[in-house]
Amino acid sequence: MTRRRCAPTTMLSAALVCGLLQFGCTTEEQVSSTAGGYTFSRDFDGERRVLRLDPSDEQSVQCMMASLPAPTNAAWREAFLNPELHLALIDLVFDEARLPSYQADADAIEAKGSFVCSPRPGEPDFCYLPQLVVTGDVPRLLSHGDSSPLRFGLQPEISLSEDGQELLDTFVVVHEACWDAAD
Amino acid sequence: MPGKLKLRLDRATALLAVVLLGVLAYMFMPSCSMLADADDTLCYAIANPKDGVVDWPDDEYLQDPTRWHEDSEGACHLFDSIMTNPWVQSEDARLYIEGFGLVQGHNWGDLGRPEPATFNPKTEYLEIDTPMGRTYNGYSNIVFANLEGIELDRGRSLSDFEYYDTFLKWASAFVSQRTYRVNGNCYRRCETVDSHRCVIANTVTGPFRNDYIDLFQTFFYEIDSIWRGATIVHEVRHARDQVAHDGGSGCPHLSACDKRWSTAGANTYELLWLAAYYWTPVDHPFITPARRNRAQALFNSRRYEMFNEPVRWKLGDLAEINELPEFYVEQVACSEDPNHPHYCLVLAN
Repeated sequence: MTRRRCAPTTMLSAALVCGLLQFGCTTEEQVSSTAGGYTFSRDFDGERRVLRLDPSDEQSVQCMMASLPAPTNAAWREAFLNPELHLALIDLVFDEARLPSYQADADAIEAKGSFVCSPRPGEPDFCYLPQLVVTGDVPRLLSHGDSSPLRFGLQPEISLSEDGQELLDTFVVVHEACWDAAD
Repeated sequence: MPGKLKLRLDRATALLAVVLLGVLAYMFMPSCSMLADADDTLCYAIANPKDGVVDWPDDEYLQDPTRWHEDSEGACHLFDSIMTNPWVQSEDARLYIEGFGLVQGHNWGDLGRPEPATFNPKTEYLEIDTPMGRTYNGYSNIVFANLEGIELDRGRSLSDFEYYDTFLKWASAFVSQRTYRVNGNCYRRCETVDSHRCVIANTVTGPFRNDYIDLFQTFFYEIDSIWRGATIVHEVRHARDQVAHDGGSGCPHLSACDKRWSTAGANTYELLWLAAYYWTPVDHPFITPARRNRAQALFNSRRYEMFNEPVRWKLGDLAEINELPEFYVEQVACSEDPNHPHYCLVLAN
């Protein structure tokens, strides 16, 4: 049996073609944002806590907790909560009687909120506004346009309404329940 | 001995063949959502026409209160109405919109291209209920936000700011020049079955290839036409520019997030376009107060949701975006020290 040996140039050309083909076929898929669901995001005391709820699933929540500036690899947890706890938060957001209080809270942070900044070498200062922001198809606050986010300031110079404080406290309870349940 | 070697080789070859077959099967395995169309998907509606007519899922959309938008006087508007979208009466406008990459796109024949607006016998109105019509409406926001409309020459150099003297004009040319193909898709891409958290669109790009943008059911039926317009600007930034998301899970929308505003990624472009749309003259013939309110709300929500690092810029900071577009599309370093780059102007975070 005789074997034909490939000439080095042939092998090199084959490797080159394979490499180029692979490079040429490299694709990157970029997902745009998702629509739907509600997001509660709190930046406070050098830490970010995020909670995501999907209205179609009354018990499932996803939560994230990380120090600020939030890294690109923060861990998320998913948990199934007591339905009453889950609904408590949603009910607070959609209680129309509370909208004037929520509007006053949003106005207060708009007027008095101030960024907390810390320098970073070689990069712009890192700044954040201590607040809880609720986004999604939330009730409409008249002075802030169509479905603008609900915002609650978390600085001593901003006094929160009782309704706003209750929403904030419930958020913390639900977030902790999610984070601990998923342990 | 040679017999044993041959047997081993045969086994190794068979094993390799099985592995290769497995890899091939895995690569070409359709996703679960494609194996069976749930009866609330467009795919199902297209595959099961009633008396030969596709029952587009418009009724649910019209009944959804979040789809109605209020102006400052409390009047309600539906952005997908035939009255407010000039392409309905103009073949030229449809051709102009098709020129943004739809003409090269796939699947539009099934998604309403032959008849983008249909007569509803129940309401006795012509309705824009097809995915094609809804997509035209999204692009209409990009085209008719300019007073020139379809007369705008979108083929000039993107650095010609004498001609593109507003950000909205520049954005229309950017959308036209920086992507190749825009496809429609009849399925939903949701996180879990029945989830409401679904992907709106995505873009595939890479070296030595034509980029393409895929639009999903959520794009057509679960977001309004202004969000659709902003999404198109967002996706085009991924396309020929190949700018990927560099944020991540430290932000509410995870892999769809950008690290910060000043990286000038797809989310920054989307917000700049929303700001420019908002900052148009109050007597604008296309951008009604309800549309302006919606752009404001989207800007305000998405600046919190789409970046790992909080965005300091507010809508008010971008009030001159239509007067000085070149100021907003170029990053300018305000630090003279090359070892400590620090971007200034509005693109700084």
